[in-house]
Amino acid sequence: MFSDNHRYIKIFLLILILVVLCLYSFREGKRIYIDLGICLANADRFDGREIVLEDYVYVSSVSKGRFAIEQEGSRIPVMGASDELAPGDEIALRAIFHREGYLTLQELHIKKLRTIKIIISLAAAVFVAVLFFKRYRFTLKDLQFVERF
Amino acid sequence: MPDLITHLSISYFLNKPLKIFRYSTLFYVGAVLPDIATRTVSIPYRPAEFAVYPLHTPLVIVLLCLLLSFFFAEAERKQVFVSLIAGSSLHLFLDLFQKHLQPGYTLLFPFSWRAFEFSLLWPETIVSMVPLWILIVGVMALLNRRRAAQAKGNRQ
Repeated sequence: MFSDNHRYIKIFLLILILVVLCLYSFREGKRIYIDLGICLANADRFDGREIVLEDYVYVSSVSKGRFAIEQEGSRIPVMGASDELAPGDEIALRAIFHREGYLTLQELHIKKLRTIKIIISLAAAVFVAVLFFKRYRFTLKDLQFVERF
Repeated sequence: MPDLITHLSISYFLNKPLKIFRYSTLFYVGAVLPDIATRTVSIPYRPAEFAVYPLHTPLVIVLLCLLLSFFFAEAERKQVFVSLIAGSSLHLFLDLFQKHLQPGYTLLFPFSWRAFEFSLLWPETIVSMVPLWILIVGVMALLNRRRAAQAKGNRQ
């Protein structure tokens, strides 16, 4: 399996399988994943149903006993309070959707430190890249990485 | 996902004292590979999130590591694959300890979309522990260096 026999065919087949799996995921994921835009576009279907909004949900305004959220251009008010919320916070929430165009809050989580997480992860990725390229170099002739020493 | 410093630190804790993998650089590459393969695309370009999602699932990671191993010399290919897959497996295992409002990891993709996780820690709890990881890794690296210098001195 690891030999050089038919190496380029093996590489081609593996890339093909990966592309097919990625395309399958792209198609199915869109069908399974529920976001605020889908709920608002199909309000009758989601009426009274519990939904979870986890990604790219931002608080757009906060008032007494309610707040409004925005997810990729779709906005909706949420009934339920949290003292810790402020406009601009990224959150995840579990709520009941109502076709009248509002949510009733069930569970809320404020996502903190996301930007810090991205920055430190980027630093770690650069560190690993430096570590890797200090040890290996790429040769175009054989299309493979070889050790520098 | 825990941040990549946490992933790297834990793979260092495992690899350094036990010296499990000869190709430790590739073990560390494997430890960050699932996130590099997915987040570098999905964070700047969100619509592609589901297209790259499989690259963070066990079966597809095996295929990806196999593909990457073909870009190394034949003699070391098997070891490269083992090191990459070990790092990636550790990454996927650590991710399972995170908590989300709904479980996030479909371990049986493409056969099932059922998601699973142990739901123990919120991602930001893990991020707040990063200074501790850096401190421990620093102390371990210092001790290793001192031990290596001592061993060299004894030989001379």
